[in-house]
Amino acid sequence: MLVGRSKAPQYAQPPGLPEIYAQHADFVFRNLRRLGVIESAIDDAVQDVFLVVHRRLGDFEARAQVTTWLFGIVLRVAQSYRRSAMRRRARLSDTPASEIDEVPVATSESPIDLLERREATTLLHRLLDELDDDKRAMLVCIELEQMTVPEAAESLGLNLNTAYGRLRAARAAFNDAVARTQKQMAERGARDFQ
Amino acid sequence: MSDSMIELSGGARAILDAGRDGDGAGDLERARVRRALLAKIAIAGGATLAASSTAAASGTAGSAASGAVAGSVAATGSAAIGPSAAAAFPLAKILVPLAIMIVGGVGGTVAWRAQQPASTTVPAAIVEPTAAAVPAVAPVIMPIEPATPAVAPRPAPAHHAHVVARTEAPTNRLAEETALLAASNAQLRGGDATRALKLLDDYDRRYPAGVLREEVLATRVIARCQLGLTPDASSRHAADTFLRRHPASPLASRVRSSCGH
Repeated sequence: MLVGRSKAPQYAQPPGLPEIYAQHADFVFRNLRRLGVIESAIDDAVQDVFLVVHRRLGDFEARAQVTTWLFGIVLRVAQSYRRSAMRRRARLSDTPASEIDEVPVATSESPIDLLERREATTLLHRLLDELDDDKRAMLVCIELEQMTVPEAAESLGLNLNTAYGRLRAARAAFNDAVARTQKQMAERGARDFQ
Repeated sequence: MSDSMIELSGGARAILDAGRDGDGAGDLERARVRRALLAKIAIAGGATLAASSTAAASGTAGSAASGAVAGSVAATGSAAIGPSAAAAFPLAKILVPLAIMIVGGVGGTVAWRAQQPASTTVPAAIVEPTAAAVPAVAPVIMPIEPATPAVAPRPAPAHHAHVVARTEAPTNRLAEETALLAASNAQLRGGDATRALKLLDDYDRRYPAGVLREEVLATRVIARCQLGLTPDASSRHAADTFLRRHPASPLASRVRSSCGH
């Protein structure tokens, strides 16, 4: 299922917070997770995003894509939470990351589907964790949210040339991360890595 | 530019496709956060209202600093609240009516006003609401799920937020309740869990059936856990009790993380 552009509605008038929440809460949840916010902080982070949205609704008026504008807010909140989480992990260094960073459960799924989805999402998160913040954000915009490069550039506050350069670097870094992981898993004799 | 663009490898593309749909939110999760967001906005507005009332009582001009709102927003959030959200929120003009409305909106609907904050000043008319204090802008009605049983029911549930916005007593009481809770959270953030607990004791004495009891209970559990470097048996028991009684509370994650669950 493609997400992102295909879901973004066009507004004749600036939407209110209820409309934005109803249409884009899922966008905010998933991208906070992709940008590294740990599961125990997701609720608070989502609330922070929408508090900022509420405060800055006036900024949105001339924009065609809510998601383009929203992603910039999500990114800044996510970076803040990641910094806080890193400080907390430094204090609680005996808490394994896996215990506090779990993939959300959709109760309608079968156990096998759930397991597969958990594994796929966990693997994706681990690979994204290997990228720096700039490359990670670009990859999420383009490859997961299906934004165009100009839209991603607007979300991330970049000029177009920089955005193309960053996308190139992000794809290369992600390819490298995948290759490293495949190699490590092969060396461990892991099966079923396709 | 795109001519020299690097493409993703087959393995990278497969991983992205497989993991793309695993990060969304379920209906319950969205509803839970929406309710928490409403509560956070309402509490922020209530604290501002209280600050404004204090200023008026001391003969100061009746305007509330936006910092009071920011402080209360941070107080109701997590320790990891983002700096963007913790920055000053000039939301007073919309938050105060929201704080009023959420009281009457429990179990029914709450109006989210889509109007923009024009300034950081809280009009005196909003501190003591009258018919004139209700903005002419039509509210956007956003249904919410019924509140948890721990939230004390209002004696006369309003069918519409406007009705509640015109009643005075619940406004003042909510302002006082939220101010006490915000003060307790501020002490907690400052590392003084003992003072935070005293403020919560004060809340319990004054508002045994207060509308913020769930939040107060969670804050008490967090404060007790914060008192010890590692939560003792009593704190763990309190946390267990809270999580058992309020498993869907938006504060449950804070209780779990604070108390080592």
